[in-house]
Amino acid sequence: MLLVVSRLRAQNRDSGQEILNGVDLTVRKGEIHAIMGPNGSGKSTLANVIMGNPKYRVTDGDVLFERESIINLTTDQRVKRGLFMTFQHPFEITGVRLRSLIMASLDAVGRRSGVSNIIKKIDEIADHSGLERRFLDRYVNVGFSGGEKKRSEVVQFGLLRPKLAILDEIDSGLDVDSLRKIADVLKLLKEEEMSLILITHYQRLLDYLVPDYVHVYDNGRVIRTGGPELAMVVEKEGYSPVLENVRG
Amino acid sequence: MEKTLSLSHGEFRLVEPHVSRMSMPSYGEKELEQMLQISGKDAGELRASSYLEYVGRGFPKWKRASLESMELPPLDTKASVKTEGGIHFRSMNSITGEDLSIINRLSFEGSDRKFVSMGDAFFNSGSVIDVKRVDRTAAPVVITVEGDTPTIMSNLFVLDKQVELTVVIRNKTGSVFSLMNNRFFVDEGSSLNLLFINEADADAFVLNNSYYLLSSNAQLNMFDVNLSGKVVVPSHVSRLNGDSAVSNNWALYSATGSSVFDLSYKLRHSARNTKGAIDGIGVLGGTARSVFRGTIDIDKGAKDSRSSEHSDALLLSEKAVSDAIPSLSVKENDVEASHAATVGSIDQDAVYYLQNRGLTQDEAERLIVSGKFDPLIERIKEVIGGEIDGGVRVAIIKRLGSFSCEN
Repeated sequence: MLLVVSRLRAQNRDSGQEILNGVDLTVRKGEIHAIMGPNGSGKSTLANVIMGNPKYRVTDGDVLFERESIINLTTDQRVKRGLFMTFQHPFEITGVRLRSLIMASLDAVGRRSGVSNIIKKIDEIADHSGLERRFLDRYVNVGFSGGEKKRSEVVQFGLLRPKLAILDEIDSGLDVDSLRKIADVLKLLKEEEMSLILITHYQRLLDYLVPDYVHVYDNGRVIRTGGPELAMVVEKEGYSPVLENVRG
Repeated sequence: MEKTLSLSHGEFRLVEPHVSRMSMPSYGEKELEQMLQISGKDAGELRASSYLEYVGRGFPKWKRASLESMELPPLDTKASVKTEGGIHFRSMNSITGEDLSIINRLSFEGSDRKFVSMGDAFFNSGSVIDVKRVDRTAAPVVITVEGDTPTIMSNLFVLDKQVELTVVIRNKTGSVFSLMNNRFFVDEGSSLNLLFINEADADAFVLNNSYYLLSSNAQLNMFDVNLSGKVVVPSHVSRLNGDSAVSNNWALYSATGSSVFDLSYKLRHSARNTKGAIDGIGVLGGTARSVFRGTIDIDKGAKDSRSSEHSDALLLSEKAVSDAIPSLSVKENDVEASHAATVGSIDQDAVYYLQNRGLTQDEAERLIVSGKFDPLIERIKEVIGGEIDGGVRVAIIKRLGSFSCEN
């Protein structure tokens, strides 16, 4: 088992509001999981709790990564263990160039090899991801379009090569061609033992990147798990029948 | 005399803020006598008249930048100052009658007349840098203050018509006191690119009084980088005296420990179509305090002028305090003037984003802070030139590195 989330409960540190209500999720090496759910169901929050966002406090349950609890680790410590997340809305950081951030990240996770090699590798992955190289020398996400931000996230994912990546709405705001391109790159970058959790609203990403499991998520917990066919049901009939079925 | 704060607006008269005065052991006749021995006739005249004004008033009892604990060390007749480059420079002790009349014409208040007169009475270093029209683009001038003895510097820069000059004044004093008066006359169509870097001793009282008189189509690009000192009081006043003159002022500072930085930048627009800008960015840690005073005065007749001021301060500690005191006085209708100020702490969402890329909280915060300064550092490189900017990037990054240990 790579990741085991069990009975995980968490609350917002400031408001005290419960935001996870007993989440169970198991991800093995090499698997692709999709988490789908209506707007506001808390999918991104789950990703943030797994990554250790200090805004949230775990009140019960556990998160094991490679059989060890990580809930007391800081976010960067989790990243160093091999977790990674791409952001739905990546932050703009004035004054920090994307290439410098990538170099600092590679240093931090101990993946940096010779400078010339790494520069070549960054350019190569940017080319694959469809991110024009000039963006590598711009400030992180500043003046990037929605698509460029997503491609920049994919470049970082490709270079850091995590064991488990949570891709939070990597497909949102992309047109069909861009989506297909991103999916192709993800397929290319995904190594055999690498696992992915795709958080998405739509089935279309899953046409290209076929998941082993689909989880429907609502109200802070996984309410139904199935194979790729579950995504088809959601696509065809919406969330209501799935949610009502569970509630009923 | 050019006042730092104008006190009238049309029919209105502001009540002049009363600055209490105090006496403290300071330099007097003995030091003046020593200085006069090494001065020429006109320098002697400048010293003597300034001394009379100096003894006539006490030291200012500033509320924020308190001088109560200031102790003036013995004054040598010569400070450790290195002046490189330029073409026509001579010691302030050998000024001519013509230089003296320019100095008198460039009379200004600075942070306080006590210090301006002190600088002109007791200067133990300083140059007259005179760029003639034939020189066109003069070689850059780099002035470096070093050593452990107090530096009192008085400089006069005269730029003839249609010339360009780049000046770097770097203060690396190890003494607890440094004071400089800088007067700049920039004639028609000339450009002055100027970088001040203050890296004085952490216990130093650092005062910089600079005045710029800009003629038609003259342009000033001034960077004021203050990185250390116990009490730091830079005061820069630009008088845009000729049509289409431009004054761009960029301030960058980092205050830590219990430092107090009282920074003042003033633009006075007195002619048509003049443009001015004040942009400040600072970071404060420990129990440091900063006051950022940006003053824009637009005189009657300065039609079509544009002026703006903006300041940002980033607080890295709960006990650090930053105040912005913007002041706009506009006496002409057809102008644009604006001001904006922000004071904030590091965006924790951005920190979290960088932690998601493997950086520790400390590394992420340092990267964000140094990133805040990056656009300005790039501009310094562009305007001043990477070869002579005194390693400003390295100095700033080194300075920012010290924050993590402290907070």
